Amino acid sequence: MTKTQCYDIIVVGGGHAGIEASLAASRMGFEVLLITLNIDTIGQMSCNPSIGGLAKGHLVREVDAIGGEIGLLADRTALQFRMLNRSKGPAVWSPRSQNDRVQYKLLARQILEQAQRITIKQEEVQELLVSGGSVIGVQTGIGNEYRAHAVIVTTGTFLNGLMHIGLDSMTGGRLAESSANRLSNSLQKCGLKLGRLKTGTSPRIARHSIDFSILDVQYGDEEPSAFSLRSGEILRDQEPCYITHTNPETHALIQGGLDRSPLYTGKITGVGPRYCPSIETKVVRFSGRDSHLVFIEPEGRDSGECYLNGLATSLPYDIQMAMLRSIKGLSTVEITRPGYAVEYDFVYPVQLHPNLETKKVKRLFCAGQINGTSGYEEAAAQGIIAGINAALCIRDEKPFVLKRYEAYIGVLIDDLITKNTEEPYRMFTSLAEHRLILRTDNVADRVMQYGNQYGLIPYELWQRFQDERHEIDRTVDTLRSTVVKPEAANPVLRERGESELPGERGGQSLYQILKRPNMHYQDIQQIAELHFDKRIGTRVEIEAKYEGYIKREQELIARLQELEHIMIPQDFEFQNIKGLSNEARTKLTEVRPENLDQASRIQGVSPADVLVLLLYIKKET
Amino acid sequence: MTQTTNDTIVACATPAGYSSIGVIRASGEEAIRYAETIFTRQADQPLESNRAYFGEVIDPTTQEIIDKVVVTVYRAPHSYTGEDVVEIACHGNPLIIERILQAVIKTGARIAQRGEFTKRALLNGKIDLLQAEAVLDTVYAPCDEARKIAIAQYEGKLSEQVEHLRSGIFDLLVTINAAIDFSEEQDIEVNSESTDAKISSLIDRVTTWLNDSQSGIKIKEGYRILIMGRANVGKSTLFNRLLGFDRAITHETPGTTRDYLEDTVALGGLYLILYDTAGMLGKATGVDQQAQERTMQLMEGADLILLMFDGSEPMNEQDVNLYNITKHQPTIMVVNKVDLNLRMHAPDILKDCVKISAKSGHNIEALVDTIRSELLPVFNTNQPIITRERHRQSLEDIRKDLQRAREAPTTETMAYELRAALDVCGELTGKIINKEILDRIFDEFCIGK
Repeated sequence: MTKTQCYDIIVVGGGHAGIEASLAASRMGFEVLLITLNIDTIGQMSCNPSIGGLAKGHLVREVDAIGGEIGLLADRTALQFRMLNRSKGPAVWSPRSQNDRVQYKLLARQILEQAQRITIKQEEVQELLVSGGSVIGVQTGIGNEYRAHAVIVTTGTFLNGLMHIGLDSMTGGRLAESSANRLSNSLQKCGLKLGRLKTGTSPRIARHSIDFSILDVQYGDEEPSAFSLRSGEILRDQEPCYITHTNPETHALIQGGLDRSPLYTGKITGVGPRYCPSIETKVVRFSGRDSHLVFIEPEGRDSGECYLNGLATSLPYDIQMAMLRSIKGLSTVEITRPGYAVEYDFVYPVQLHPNLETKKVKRLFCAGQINGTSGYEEAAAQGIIAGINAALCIRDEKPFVLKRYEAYIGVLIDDLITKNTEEPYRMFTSLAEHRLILRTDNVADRVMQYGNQYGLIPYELWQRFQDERHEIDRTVDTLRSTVVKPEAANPVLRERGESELPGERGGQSLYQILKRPNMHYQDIQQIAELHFDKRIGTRVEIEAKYEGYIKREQELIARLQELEHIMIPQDFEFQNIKGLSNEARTKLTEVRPENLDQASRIQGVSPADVLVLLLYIKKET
Repeated sequence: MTQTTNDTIVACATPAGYSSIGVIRASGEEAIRYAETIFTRQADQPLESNRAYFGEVIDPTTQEIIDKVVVTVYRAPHSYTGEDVVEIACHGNPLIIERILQAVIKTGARIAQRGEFTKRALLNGKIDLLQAEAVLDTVYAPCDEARKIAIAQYEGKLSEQVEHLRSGIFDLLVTINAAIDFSEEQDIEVNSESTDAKISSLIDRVTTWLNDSQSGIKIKEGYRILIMGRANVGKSTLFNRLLGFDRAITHETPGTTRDYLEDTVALGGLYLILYDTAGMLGKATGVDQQAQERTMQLMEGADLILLMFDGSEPMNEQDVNLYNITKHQPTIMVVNKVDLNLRMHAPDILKDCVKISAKSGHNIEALVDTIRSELLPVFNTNQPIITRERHRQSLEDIRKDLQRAREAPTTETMAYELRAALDVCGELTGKIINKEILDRIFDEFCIGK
């Protein structure tokens, strides 16, 4: 055995969680060792060549505002930007980008390589070294031992990864890549309970074999919205996507191949995501529909491949080929890489503290797909939280936990640790009960203070944010105190189809006028000849329109905090409490919630159980 | 409500005072063991569930027999509280009850707090919040109609309906959220017309429910019935007759009643608050004037007026005056003294009135029937009737949220309002914890329920 080397923090895995964890921890001043199975696939986008989307775009902006990298990486490698849900209110607008798959991973690797205090090694971690209930390092396949004060496991789909194409299966976490087969055992030896999940991806096709001339085109936004607050204006050319549909013939071909589908022959036992089903699942489950949407997305600016979004499949190769060729625009298509399904081990996330540290082993953290999530954005969000918390735990400081009403990241992690995932967890806006205040426009207000507190964002950015906040407040004050006469406002109101101000009675404040549904900040500028830039104008307008809701949300949050502030003692014996249901007793013992609010969200814990807890705790303290 | 552990509680479940039977109830882990300690009977086998045993309660300190009793045992979870429960039926003497209570306490139980039995039933999931309130309403139902409503609520009818409403709102919210969260992947769009229609139909449902609740609350709180008429038509006699005892002084001198009298009675299945008022005089001054002003004030809040005439005398100016004053309010015209010679000439009134003799009780039953049919509401739905202000307020809130949802400027604000409405539904049934509400409800309970 070679000499043992020492670091502060070891990150196992170089995916989207591993990248953020490594960068956050190193930026907080710790020596980080990043160990990956393959340095060339650091930052690989395993599935869609795209970042963001509904609710996921929120996560990206939050990670960015705390000081993470995913937003910058996406902005700098984007081929197309679109703000989704524009027809709905600003709380659910979500940015999304198409990205150059190769550029993205090269840039990610470059940033890690150039970062201070990060060492990268290509080895397979096979064993976690644990002593006295704390992790102390790892051992790799070539016999090396590395010591550290904390270990963050971000292995994605690589734990006992098993891929399926038709009835053929092969080990690996991604096509043509190996899997990590020993680490699962080591995690189990640590006392962690593992489960099995499944996910799938779509075939990639040759760009030259597509007849784009007969397809609908989807262009990017004329004014692209960047993810990162650090990106500034985006000036580059954008690439289009194309839209096509499956048809009854496609569906018949799929039906004909089900006898060789690993999903339908019982070969795959892991649970797949309901919201992102394979095309065969869609055809079987929604048999009434004779068409499903398919997006043809560019793989890269110079790439000869395209990605088929909406066609994840693990059907045999010949069926994949036949079904693609039945689709409009793809009649002569060539598959470059087939779609496949992958099954992998995951750690039941209820075994984690809110800081993503395992309850069984101190200083051992898990982040990303290993915790049962899906998506690059969910992984990145957990990565930065694990990275920060590993650092805080070495410093012996209070953990960093975002609340559900502060950030989607808070919702994500709280859901993971209080509800046992039965399927890969994907972020949705509807999972955030405080959706109206968790917007992408106010992300800096919500979380940048933490990035500043932990030294993860440049001082210049923090300063800029504070200036902007002041300017917004100042503008709001001006609009509130500026009352305009009917003769000034009415022409614009009329034009916008809003009711006019009555003649005799003094007028109305600009702020009140801006609250009306059809009025925009530009109209206010027109009425009052005020000048503020687009960024400020947009934000003031959103805050004006949501004001009533924001107030109600704040009242609600104040009420929630009452439960949140009732702490459950660490050594609380749920088993001894008779009034609790059996299920609640088991779940509470498993999850060990820190406060009553968290307890109330655990699956299997009823309001009556919460009340029993409330009464006990009140009595004991 | 500080103590809610599984310790064993005991209390007297029947009212204080002398009665033929008194019941002492104990609930908790040790209830059966405690009962076995103080209870002796001939066969000495363990007490079985759901069986009544005859025997004696022995004082654990003095070993003397306190009383001959019947003991019934219910084992968890098949009991009212969901815990082991023992009921001891003894002779209804407060002294005996006190001695037995002390005996149970000596073996280890503690005296129950207000509402604690029902609270345990709630905490053990035997009943939900609405049912817990129904227990209270059943116990205190002032009339038969109120009892019917309370028992239906106890059976879970109201909870069912709230759940039905909740699921209607929930389905709508799911559709809207799907449109928000999957707008780019599937071709789901919210059809705003059909959404509007769905919300409107939910609003209509809540509105009819609320309208019915006005009557529901009346049934429980009581209908206010005002007996009016000119001096000496026999108002106080009717008042006493309806109450069933001589509450008011009656005398042939006009103006015997000055200050109005008030009392309650359950009649015809309804709970009535009766008011006996001063007779109306033509030109009143001083005390009389004040008395008449009070009558006029009472009239505003009355649910029904019994306008009395003296059948043995011709109509006079006062009668006509009163007839006009009360014309626009729900009124039953009552012609009294029909046992004497009929001298009243007013065909319109005589056609529509109830002819009684308050003194002899003649035709009083017909009057009660008329009162009942006049008051008893025709409910517009077969939804369970709401009788509590808390429930009414929640329904109002739900309606307000739904109305806001219908007018919401954007999809996600609509979802916000629907979610708010869902939360109120949850608070109504107790699915969402609101400690303040619970505390208030349990404060209403008496010990031993």
